[in-house]
Amino acid sequence: MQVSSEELKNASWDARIELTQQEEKELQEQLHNFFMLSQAMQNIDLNEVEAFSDAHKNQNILRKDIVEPSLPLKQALENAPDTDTSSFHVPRIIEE
Amino acid sequence: MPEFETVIGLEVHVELLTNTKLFCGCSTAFGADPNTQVCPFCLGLPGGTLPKLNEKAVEYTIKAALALNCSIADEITFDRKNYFYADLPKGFQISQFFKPTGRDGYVEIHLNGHSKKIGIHQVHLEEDTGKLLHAGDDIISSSHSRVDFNRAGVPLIEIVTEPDIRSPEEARLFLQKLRSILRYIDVSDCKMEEGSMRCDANISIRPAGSKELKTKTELKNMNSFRAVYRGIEYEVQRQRSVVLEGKEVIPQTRHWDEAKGITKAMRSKLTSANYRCFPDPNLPPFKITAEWLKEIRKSIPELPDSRYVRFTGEYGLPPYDAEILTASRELADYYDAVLASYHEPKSVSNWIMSELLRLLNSTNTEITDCKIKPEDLGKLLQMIASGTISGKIAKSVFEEMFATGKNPEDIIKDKGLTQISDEDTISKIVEDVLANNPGSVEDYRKGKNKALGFLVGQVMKKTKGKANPQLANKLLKEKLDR
Amino acid sequence: MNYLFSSIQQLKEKIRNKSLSPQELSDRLTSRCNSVQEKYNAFISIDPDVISKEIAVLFENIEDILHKTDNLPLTGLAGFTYALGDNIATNCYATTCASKMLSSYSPPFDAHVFSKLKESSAIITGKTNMEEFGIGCSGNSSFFKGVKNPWNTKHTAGSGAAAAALTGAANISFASDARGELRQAASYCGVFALKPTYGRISRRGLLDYASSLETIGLMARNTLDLATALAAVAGNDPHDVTALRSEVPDYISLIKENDGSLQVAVPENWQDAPHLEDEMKDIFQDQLKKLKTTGVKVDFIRLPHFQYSSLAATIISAVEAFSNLANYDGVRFGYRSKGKHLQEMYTQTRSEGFSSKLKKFLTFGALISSPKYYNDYFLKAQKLRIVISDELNNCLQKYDLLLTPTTPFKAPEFERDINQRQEGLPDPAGYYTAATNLAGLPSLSFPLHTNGLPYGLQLIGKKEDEVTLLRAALLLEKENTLAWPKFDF
Repeated sequence: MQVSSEELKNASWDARIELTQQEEKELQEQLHNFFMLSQAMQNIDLNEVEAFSDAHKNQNILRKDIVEPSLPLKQALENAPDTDTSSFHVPRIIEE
Repeated sequence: MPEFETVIGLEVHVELLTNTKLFCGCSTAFGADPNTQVCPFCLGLPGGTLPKLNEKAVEYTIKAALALNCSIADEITFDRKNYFYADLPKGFQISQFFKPTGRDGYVEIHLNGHSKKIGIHQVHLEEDTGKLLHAGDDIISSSHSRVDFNRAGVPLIEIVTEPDIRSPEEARLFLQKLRSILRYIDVSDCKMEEGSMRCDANISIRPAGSKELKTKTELKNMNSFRAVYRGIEYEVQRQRSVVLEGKEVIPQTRHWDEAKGITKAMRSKLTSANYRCFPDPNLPPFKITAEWLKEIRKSIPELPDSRYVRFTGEYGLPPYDAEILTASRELADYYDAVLASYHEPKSVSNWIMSELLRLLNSTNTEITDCKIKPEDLGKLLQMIASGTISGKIAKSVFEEMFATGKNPEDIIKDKGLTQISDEDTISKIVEDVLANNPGSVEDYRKGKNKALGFLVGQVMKKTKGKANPQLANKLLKEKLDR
Repeated sequence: MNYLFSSIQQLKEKIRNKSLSPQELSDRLTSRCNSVQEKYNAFISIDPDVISKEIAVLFENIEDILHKTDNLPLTGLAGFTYALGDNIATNCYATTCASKMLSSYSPPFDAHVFSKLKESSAIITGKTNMEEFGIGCSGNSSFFKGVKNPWNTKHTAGSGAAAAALTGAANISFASDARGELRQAASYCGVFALKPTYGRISRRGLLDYASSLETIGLMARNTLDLATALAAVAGNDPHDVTALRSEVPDYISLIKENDGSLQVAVPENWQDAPHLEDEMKDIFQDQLKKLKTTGVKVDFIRLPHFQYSSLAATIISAVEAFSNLANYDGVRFGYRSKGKHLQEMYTQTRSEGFSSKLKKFLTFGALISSPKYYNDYFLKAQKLRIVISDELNNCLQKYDLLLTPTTPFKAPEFERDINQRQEGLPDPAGYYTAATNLAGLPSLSFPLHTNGLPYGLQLIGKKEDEVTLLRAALLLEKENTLAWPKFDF
């Protein structure tokens, strides 16, 4: 299995990551190894198995609909790199 | 020119009326200062992102799915929908992808005297996003945006219809019916203008008679029932022109521009959906027990469709009346309550539909805030029927009741408005009037019947409208014809 | 020895006869931690003020602690020192995950374990260094540089937690384990490690990268300390719906009851692990022999899918990391780079804030969950997870324990072993360890000291049965002499 540079770029974009050329090369090598090792996995018949059906999983518990205290505004904002006195700031949304 | 058929599917998001968010205890109260209803979970702070599922939100979703005639899953899961956007604090939205709460339901709409079922593909529960405030005039010219996460994590249900809708009118009727049902069961206030009900439409057209589904566009940003109607109408026309020019409809997301009355394409890169959904590892599946389901089913009141059937059948109301009276649960409850004290369905309906709705609309009052108690309205109607007061006086009493909430007996007593039906009293007044208006008496005797009307008017004037008009009429005639 | 005192009773004696003042104790502890930091880079934060404050409280309450039994098992840890991996949230220390992305993050809350430990009169010595976000054990992704192995500083320690436990900078180290990181590092440093059953310890406040696999585990220099610490922090937490709801066993009393009739299984193809070192093979076979002589029954059994566990765990953890770490976007916390518009800001922030290794790992996660690969890789890995879990659970119905090496090799050398052993997809260090994360089973790594770098022996137990693991570790402690290195601090 060969992953094209285009495919890798799309995947890294979906993770909002830009790989350097060096990183892309290293990842390609790792992927080469990965797909080789995965071949055996591809041959296992798992059609009868339901994914995500782990029997050991808990059953979810529900919470009562009762208001709990929120963070004080100052604490909500204190770790953020760019804010005013009440809101978080992000750069312009539109790309042009 | 070829005939086209329009194919529309709607995705409707509705905010639930819970006190707290879907997965944390932050308040959902509307209108709080920015970022004052947030916690480590709904801000997506590292190490603070373990969710705790809100019981009410699940209950409301099941209730809505039941009211929309869905079958309910035995087990539901919550799944992550992964994408990056400024209003999304965790980088994923928790929604239901693999095992949604409800499936395969329908909503019935009434159109031109016919009814039609619109299929509901699924009903699921998910988190709302935060709100962006763009600096400057709009998103395009702004240098940056401010983010308020108060809304992030508020529980939403998404209702996805089958592509069964064939016109903008059907879309509007569907939405109104949906709103009516969800308000009946009290899970959402469904205010499109405030954003507690939002609607996206998937629209395509195909040659009439064809069964195949053509390329669709997704239409967003319609913030009122009118906007849904106009947006879809415009988009259908646009697609027709594209096809008639021999071009292909491009699959894309389009924005309804209310001011310009057009739809515009949005950038495809931001909206390309590849969400990599998988079950949220922090949220085990939840089993819906038969007992709980039974309990929720019991809590569902009579829904608009059954009420409509009862009102048209049992009460014999015309479909038009029944449609209007059942559109809101509160109005229908009010109607039923008035009937309980005065069981004349059509006359009660007339009063509510003409007098009451007129006053409610002109004063911008909700039926729930109406000061007139239903039993008082019943009494008033009873008084008209028994001739205690005239129809004309009743209207002024009614206005007084609407303004003050006083009962009709008190108003009538305070103002001395009881109708005079005593023959002796009216007889004396009639004689007075005849004595004072010899000209009119002459006219009547010459055959001018109009003069009688004038004389009755004089009797009414003297009694400040309280004289029983039929009686006044009768006595006048007797004396004149003698 | 490396302990400042060998038991709380001994500490009490020292306090009574005034041979130890709070000041002296806190100076000695701080100085030891500083030395361990300077020599091995084991810590990210050490705060002498926090240390001396906690010691002052301990001295004040010493009589109470000794006589009050109503707060057991928490007070069982009184006087112990402990360190927390830097992906466990602490309000009083920055919590960095050893990432540039979080280098100044101060969570407005404490992790569940930290809240419990604060009540226990144990003393926190600091926050330990680790791989960025606790992913792997390779020693090449911490923003604060790798942790040197105290046995041989040319090699990685796997984590600061392991180095701190080895050097006595903490009696107990708490760290995370998603594919075996905790046990691998313990094996590299020759200390004990216990990854409890998934859900045994609340994950609240753990900055995890792979939520379905990851748990908080602990390291120590003997079995009893492990049991004491586990007893103190285990238990249900209503804020973590994945936490176990069953009663926590009374570990301390139960592990001493030993009926000595252990039945142990070993996967018959255990030697198939890539990069398995000959020395490890010999040591493992020696251990099996030893066990047999003590009356333990050892069978070789077939576990046909065990060999795919690291592959499945690598795929699942990469996809979960892709999602779990999507909140690192430079908006509400953490590092932020400039960018002309929102999406560019995201990309630059994440490309500058994450290490090269993590960037590749997240891209891998995005690729393997994209529509083209989703069914054949991600879903397949999820299905394998079920098959592997069933296989292990079936095996453990017949046997008390499953036994394997902890890692195929000893601690890798910095730089030299980088490609094949440190950045593999799948991670070759996780060959033996990842299966228990997939199945949520408890697992213990027992240290095997040699002339050079140590190895580890991995014990896998039934769900919720940490007791059998601890009993077996006590037995192994009797059979093996541990040659602890001498330190001059």
